[in-house]
Amino acid sequence: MSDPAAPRIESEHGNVVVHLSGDIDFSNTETLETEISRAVLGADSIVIDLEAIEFLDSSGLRLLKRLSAHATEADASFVVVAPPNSVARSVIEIVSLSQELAVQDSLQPPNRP
Amino acid sequence: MGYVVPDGRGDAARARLSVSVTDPNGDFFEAERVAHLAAVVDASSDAIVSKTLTGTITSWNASAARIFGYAAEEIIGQNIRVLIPEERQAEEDEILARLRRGELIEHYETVRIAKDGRPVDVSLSISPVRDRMGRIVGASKIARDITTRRQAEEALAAANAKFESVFNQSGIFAAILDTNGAVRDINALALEASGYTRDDMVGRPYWETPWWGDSEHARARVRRAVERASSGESSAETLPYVMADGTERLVEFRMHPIVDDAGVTRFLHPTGIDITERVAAEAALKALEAEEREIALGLQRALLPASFVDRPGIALAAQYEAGSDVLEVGGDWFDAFDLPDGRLAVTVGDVVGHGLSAAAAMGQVRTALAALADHAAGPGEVLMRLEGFLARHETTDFATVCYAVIDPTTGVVEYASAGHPPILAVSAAGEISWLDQAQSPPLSGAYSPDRPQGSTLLEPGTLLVLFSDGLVERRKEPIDVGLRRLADAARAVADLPVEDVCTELIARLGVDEARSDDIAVLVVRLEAQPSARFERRFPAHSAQLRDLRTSMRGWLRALGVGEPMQRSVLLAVWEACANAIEHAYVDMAPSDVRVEMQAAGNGEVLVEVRDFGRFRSMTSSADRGRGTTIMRELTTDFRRESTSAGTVVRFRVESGAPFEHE
Repeated sequence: MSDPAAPRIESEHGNVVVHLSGDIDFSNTETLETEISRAVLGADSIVIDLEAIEFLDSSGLRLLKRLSAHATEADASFVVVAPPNSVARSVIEIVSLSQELAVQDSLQPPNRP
Repeated sequence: MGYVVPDGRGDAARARLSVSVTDPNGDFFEAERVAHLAAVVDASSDAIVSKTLTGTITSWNASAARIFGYAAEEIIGQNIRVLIPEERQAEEDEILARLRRGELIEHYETVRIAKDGRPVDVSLSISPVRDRMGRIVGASKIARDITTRRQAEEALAAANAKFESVFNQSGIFAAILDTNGAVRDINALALEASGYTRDDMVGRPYWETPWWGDSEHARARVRRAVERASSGESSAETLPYVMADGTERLVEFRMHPIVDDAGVTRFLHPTGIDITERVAAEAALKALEAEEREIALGLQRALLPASFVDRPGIALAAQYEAGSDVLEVGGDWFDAFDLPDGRLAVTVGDVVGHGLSAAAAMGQVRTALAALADHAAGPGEVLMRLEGFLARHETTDFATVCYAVIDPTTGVVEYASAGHPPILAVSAAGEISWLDQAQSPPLSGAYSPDRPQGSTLLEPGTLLVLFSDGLVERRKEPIDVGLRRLADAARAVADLPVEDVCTELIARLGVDEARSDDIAVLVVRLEAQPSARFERRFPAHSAQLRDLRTSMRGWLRALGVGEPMQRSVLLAVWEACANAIEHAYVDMAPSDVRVEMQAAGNGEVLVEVRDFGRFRSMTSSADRGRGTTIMRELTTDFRRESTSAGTVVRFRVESGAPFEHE
């Protein structure tokens, strides 16, 4: 088990990518929410990278939902990156959250037809 | 009546004030003014004398009488030459000639003779006196007694000479600058040592002297030091400087203001000491220390077992971690070896001292202990014999050691400790105990007849932790706080593979502060058939829950449960516990949460999570219900029952759980 590292933030021209790693559970969602909300303030596009997540619980899913809702209110795009078979993807799919959240397989934008 | 008008230049102004009192045609006001001026003249501390152009004295004030010893009555009418020494008579001719030409003579320093024949150093200021028609008719003469000043000047010159000798002969580079930083003087050493001439230096701004070469940095720093010193502030720093032959060296440079009695900075005084050799020596010493640390560390590692042989029924791992301080290497050891009767001996110890000698002593102690172990009846006797060995061979006069012999077939452990922290035992159920019934003083080389030993029966799955005090000791903290921290950490990681237990313990206990001491940790687990049952009861705090995940993972792994199913069990149990913590103890004191898991023969895991609070129906929001959704999706036969005694959640997780399919 690993403690969550502080979110690593990449920010360029209004595009903010938040890389999360380690464990997300109800013991740290509050802290994470504060840090992420601060980082994405005023962003046009927000990407939450969950590829390195080792544990994600329902409070972590609620956090993603709230972040997504705030992004919509702020007219920002919101995408979660969780590769197939990753811990985060499994949990997201179990509760069918992939229908409510934009989930991408990788950090590369999907090919447009 | 006439007098010379002051020109407003301080002393000179006073010097010019002189009177002729011989005018018979003055009116009343003129007479009053004259009287007033005469009073001023008499009050002056300088001798004020007037004379005709042939040298006849016409007036003589009180100070003149005091300085030269003649009363006015006896000297007026005499020639001024009576005051002039024989060898200086020509001066008067010169003075009179200049007066006739209307010139002023100012601050002319010479010697005059008092009535008693004593020479008096005087500073003369002489001005012509004109009549109303503007004709020069005489001279007024102010003589200031400068005997005292002369003496002071001579004393100063002597002091200067002394200073010069210090200035030029000390081992310190020194210079004198004016307050603008221009070099006034520089000592011989500073020139000789660096190969420059006085002309290279004197007159230049100090920061532009060739010492500082092309270094903009050095020049800027020196200039800054000059500015600070000009405002009265000393400074010091180390700077590179360049010799005449181009060699670069280091100087420890200081700049002091030289302040007069009134607090005004008059000069700046830079000094310097060449510290090139000192710095090089310090660097060499540091390199030597680092090298010794490397050697000691290398020796330490060479003397410690590189790996352990696998033994059936026993998992064994150890780790050594050097301290952060350069020389804090060596001394701690661990070891494990088989005894002839098939039992396993384990030990951790610490030879006092650091560096090469401690590492070497450690090697001897460790070898001696292994050799003695075969022939001793038990751990207490091993320590007694070891102490005898240390005394005979003068290996070390202070070491602590704990030593234990484990019988893997029965679970019996015999142990003894000489001044060393006790062995920590964590049972499979997470219970903590300390093997502390056989503590005796450290090995000091003085023979102790009685080294007690203890024994205990370990349950299968118990983890033993042997460690050196570097793992638990913190400055300004009682040792039992450190021991408690170790117990908590060990309980949290007890289900991990033993190698990971070592790593985790060092990581968890070593992160808070820079650790100077080295650490040795040795971990043994009596393997048992993995228990089909897992039970944990803990207070409803989230901090404890995280450790629960670690334990569960260890148990599932030991059962051979695959990674995807581990994830399902971990998440489902976690959500059940989180619900209990969040909802069971609303408006009441939090109590415990209990987790029980049972491995069924068909690869299923049966789970029961129980709390002892009151169930509150969860808010109906879809978000809140996600935890339940997760549990239902991951498990089979999910049931939740709430009674007045609390809530029980039961479910099964089958192999081939959802996480295996995507």
